[in-house]
Amino acid sequence: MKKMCSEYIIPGMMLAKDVTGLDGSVLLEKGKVLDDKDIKLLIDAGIDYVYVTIKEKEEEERFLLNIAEDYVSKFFMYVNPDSKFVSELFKIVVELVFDGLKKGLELPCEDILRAKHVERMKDLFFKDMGGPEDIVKHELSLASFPDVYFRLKKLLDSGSASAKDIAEVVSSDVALATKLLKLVNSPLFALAKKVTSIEQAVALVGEEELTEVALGLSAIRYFKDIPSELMDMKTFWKHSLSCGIFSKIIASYVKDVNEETMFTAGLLHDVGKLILFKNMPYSTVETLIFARENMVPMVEAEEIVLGFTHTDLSNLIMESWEFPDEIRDIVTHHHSPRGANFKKGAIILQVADNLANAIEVSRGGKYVVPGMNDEDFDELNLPINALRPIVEKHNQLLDTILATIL
Amino acid sequence: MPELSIGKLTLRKTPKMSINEFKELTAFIHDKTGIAIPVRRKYLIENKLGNRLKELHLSSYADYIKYLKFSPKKESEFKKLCELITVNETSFFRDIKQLTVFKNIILPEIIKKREKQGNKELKIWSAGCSTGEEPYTLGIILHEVLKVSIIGWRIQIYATDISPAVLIRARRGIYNQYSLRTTPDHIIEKYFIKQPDGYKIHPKVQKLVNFQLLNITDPKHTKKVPNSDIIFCRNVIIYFDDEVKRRVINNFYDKLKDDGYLFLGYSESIHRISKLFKSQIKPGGIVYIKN
Ligand SMILES: [Fe+2]
Ligand SMILES: [Fe+2]
Repeated sequence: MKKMCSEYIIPGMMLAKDVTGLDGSVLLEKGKVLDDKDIKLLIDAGIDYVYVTIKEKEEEERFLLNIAEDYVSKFFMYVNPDSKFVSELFKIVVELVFDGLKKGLELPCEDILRAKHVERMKDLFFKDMGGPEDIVKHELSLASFPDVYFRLKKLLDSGSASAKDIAEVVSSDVALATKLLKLVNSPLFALAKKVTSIEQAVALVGEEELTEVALGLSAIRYFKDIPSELMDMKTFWKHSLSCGIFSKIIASYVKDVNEETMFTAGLLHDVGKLILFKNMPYSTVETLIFARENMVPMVEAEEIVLGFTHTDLSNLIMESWEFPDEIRDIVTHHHSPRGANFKKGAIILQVADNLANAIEVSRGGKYVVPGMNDEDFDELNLPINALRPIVEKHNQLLDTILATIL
Repeated sequence: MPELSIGKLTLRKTPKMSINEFKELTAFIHDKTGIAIPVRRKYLIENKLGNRLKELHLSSYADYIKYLKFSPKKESEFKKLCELITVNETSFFRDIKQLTVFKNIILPEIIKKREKQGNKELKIWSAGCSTGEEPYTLGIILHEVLKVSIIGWRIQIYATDISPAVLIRARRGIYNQYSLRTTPDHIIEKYFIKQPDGYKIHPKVQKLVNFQLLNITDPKHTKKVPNSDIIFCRNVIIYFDDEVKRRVINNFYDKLKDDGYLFLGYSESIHRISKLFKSQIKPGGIVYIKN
């Protein structure tokens, strides 16, 4: 027996329970094998979900695969169906959803996906009353960035920091040091041996590399106190980390890019969204709803609703925080890699963001896949069949590392 | 085996739309509705219209455009097209804070003024009313505020939309539990009648509302709208480009009484495109008055 939204039912499924109307009368009886007319009746009557069964095991697989395909297609409506990258991504996600359905995954119903019943609220800022510059200025006046960050940044800029110097600064912040050690000891870094001190970690990962990762981790803390009733912060950081992990794995396949830089860029790629959310929570919600209702990616919804995007904010805030230029450039262009100075990095991040969004579909995510150009993807010289193992590796790592850094 | 069939899956389920077809179609839509569709939404449009092509047994979008322009059924087809490309989802008592501004501040003010003038007439225009939740919500609020004295008033809520399908549902006035999710229980009890197929809006509210098929971007259409005390147009102009927005705002200006109020959606603003209105911040939201 499976609980299923009325709109996902496929003719031939059998009702496992009576379906009753609002007044308690029986609309359709248990045991009824549903046809198109019945399904239309359920939808018209506003029955959100029913319990169905499928008799034969083999039949069940066919049904579930059909449902998975239909469901995942909704999230690929915005992208080029002829792109090889998109097609491969589509197949990977269909398979994930198919596997999920077999294990009892419940897919969110259409009206939830399209945010049909979310209350809209008012905001502090209104469109046209403040641009990205005003928002960032306001943000900077609110809170200061972690001290340890600037000390690390100074070391990084000096170019002559020793392992001991870095270890000293990082260790002054116990929480940061602990997270950093857990992270580098995770399978993501695949170090030859377990490290027990920051000094050791620097020796194995590299001075610049480890400092950049530490910068990323200390930046996360800045956003710790965002109230989460409007935006699910766990989901946000999961997506961010997912991008970080994907970026680092992809970077290992690509020449001339630094894996740790890509990890940090991935981790912080959507910080603009947090700045937006902190300063304009309700407009952010409005943007989220717009994206879902219209099945467009978030960047496009922002463009329409707000007139600017989270990447504009990321650029400005990272500039104020004096982030390394390369990371800032990559983050700023993760939706438009053609304008980037570090184009390969930006493309890797765009691929990572697409992968992360696609994987989220199989985990109840509600946003469409943003897509990208095959020509950009080709610049990485990444074979299309590498995507599957990349996704598998990522899926093994995500949950444990999430527990480590949050 | 599923493994095998996943390998064969394809995302391409519709004919391809050429860039020229896209341009022609969107120019046509823009001319008739004011809705601008950027080229990056081409695949989305392909997907949304793909089924329509199948139903009409057409093999290309060029044929579909011809059908839209020259078929004897072009009118009804255009309406179907509108349904596919516009978003029509609302619920009762959505935007509660903004409705509170209407209920607690604007409405009492206008009522007092009209009573003083000895002209107990109230006209509200709900522009882009979709399936009727907004105009009915406004009707319910009028009942709640005026109570029994409502019988002494001439009230008209003029509710318009470009999609005939949503207007059919609006006139039917039957809603499911989901539409009523944000509605307080005592309101449902007072203003809805439970039926086997859902909740029907009470006739005393329904008779206040007059639904009309109308394009708000077209002055020829909006001429028919009565001069209004209040105009609600929420989450509609967001789909228009600046020029069309300006046109719509002009139409609103023409149709709003000099002391009337305009309500827009929360993240919509007209400040950049038109100086005809100025904003007034009220506790709970922004309203616009004539400049
Ligand atoms: Fe992004
Ligand atoms: Fe992202």
